[in-house]
Amino acid sequence: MTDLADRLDEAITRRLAGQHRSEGDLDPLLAGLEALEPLRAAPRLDAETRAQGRQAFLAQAREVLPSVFGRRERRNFITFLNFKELFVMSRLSRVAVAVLVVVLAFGGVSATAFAAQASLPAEPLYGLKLITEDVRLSLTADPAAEVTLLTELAARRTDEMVRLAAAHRPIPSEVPARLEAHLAQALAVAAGLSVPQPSLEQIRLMVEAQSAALAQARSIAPNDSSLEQAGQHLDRARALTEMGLTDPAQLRGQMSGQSTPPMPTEMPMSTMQPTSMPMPTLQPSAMPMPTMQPTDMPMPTMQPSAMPMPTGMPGGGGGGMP
Amino acid sequence: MLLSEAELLQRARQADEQALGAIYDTYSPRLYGYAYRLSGEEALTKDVVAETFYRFLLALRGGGGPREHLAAYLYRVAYHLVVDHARRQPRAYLSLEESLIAADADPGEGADEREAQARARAALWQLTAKQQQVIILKYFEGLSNGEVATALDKPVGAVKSLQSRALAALRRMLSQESEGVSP
Repeated sequence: MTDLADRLDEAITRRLAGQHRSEGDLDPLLAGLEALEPLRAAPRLDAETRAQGRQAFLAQAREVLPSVFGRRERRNFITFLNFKELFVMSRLSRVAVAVLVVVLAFGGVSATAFAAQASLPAEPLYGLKLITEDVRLSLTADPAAEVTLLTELAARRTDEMVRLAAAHRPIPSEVPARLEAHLAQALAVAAGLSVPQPSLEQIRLMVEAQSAALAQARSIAPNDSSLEQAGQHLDRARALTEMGLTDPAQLRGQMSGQSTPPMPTEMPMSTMQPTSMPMPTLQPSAMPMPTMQPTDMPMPTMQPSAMPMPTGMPGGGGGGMP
Repeated sequence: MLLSEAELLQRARQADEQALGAIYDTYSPRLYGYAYRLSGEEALTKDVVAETFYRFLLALRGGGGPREHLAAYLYRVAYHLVVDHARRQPRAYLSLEESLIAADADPGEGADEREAQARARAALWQLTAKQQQVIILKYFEGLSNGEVATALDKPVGAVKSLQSRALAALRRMLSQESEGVSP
């Protein structure tokens, strides 16, 4: 049996490598594989479904893995003052940490924080700039004001890219990613408002202005992938905003069902990889959140402590079916 | 920057969204093809993919989950989910007649292909669980014997034996079918 199994394995390996030839006494066995060949034509996971599934997966990760995502509780200044954690999570440069410590120690917070606002990505004070933005977001309780601040931050990210492009400096990929996070969060918060139109209009105006600025930057650096991504984020935000202005309920469903955290109580860390926006589609989610029907699939809401992770296959030695 | 699987998993444990996103991007298409080949149902396949990743997150939260061989781990979870579903609706998986009826329900374009798939799937489900996985993981998903062995928690020699027995079973089925005997 072992010899047969080895020979058959070698024959299958050859066949998988595209070497179709007579394998003698093994041919009848290999015919079994050919009988299964129609299964090879499985449909592909289309890009939109995958994007929606990815969005849902990352949204769940924020809920399921709260130990890191959840560290940034709003208004939790204990977290804010945990410098070691800040260093790790925001990837502050050592210089920025040193500056922050010195500044806090000697009371020059305002001056340094102000100076940091003009900094660009990869500059020493840029980490501090992001932290101050986080603090401002933490202190903003009113959702409409939150949208205003997020649109301001989105505009800042675009401005940074424009300035970097004008200086012929590389644009880190984190910048368009942060832009996307700000846009997504602004849309999510606006969608949750009872009267979202004013905030959506505010987002729309900002997107238009930043799209124009970005177009100028792209004329300077036409092949820059970060600028291209930023343009795509703005285009998508524009489409979602227009959808919300036409049909707020549709935007609400889109944002809450498959994308950013629906409640404005969860803010993305400016220094983490951000939440991305859902694709503006009129179709319901083709890749649902894993909340399968109880009759279809077990345990979607099982407690993790009770979750038996598979260590083997069901019916190990028996039939594939019960 | 390309990260190794071990690095991706380590970052995923730290809830690094970039790592989690990369994992999803890499494995969701593969899981989709795998689950579809087993089930033949697109809606179920999407659910299985989503649920597989959800359970992966739960495992990470509980401190479990894979330290390596992520593909094998995800395939294993997805297989469990499809089998769980099949246990609830076994006829559609077991019966060639049922499969053909389902395939004929939409006699439009691609009806012949669907029928051929239904026949192949019905044959596949006549195999044992481990035989099914060996065949699909190796022959369709392109896993090596070592990776299949990891997915099945079996030695490589056992994988070869399972493969051999699976093909022998398929040959018997083909013979019976040609003789007009229902498998």
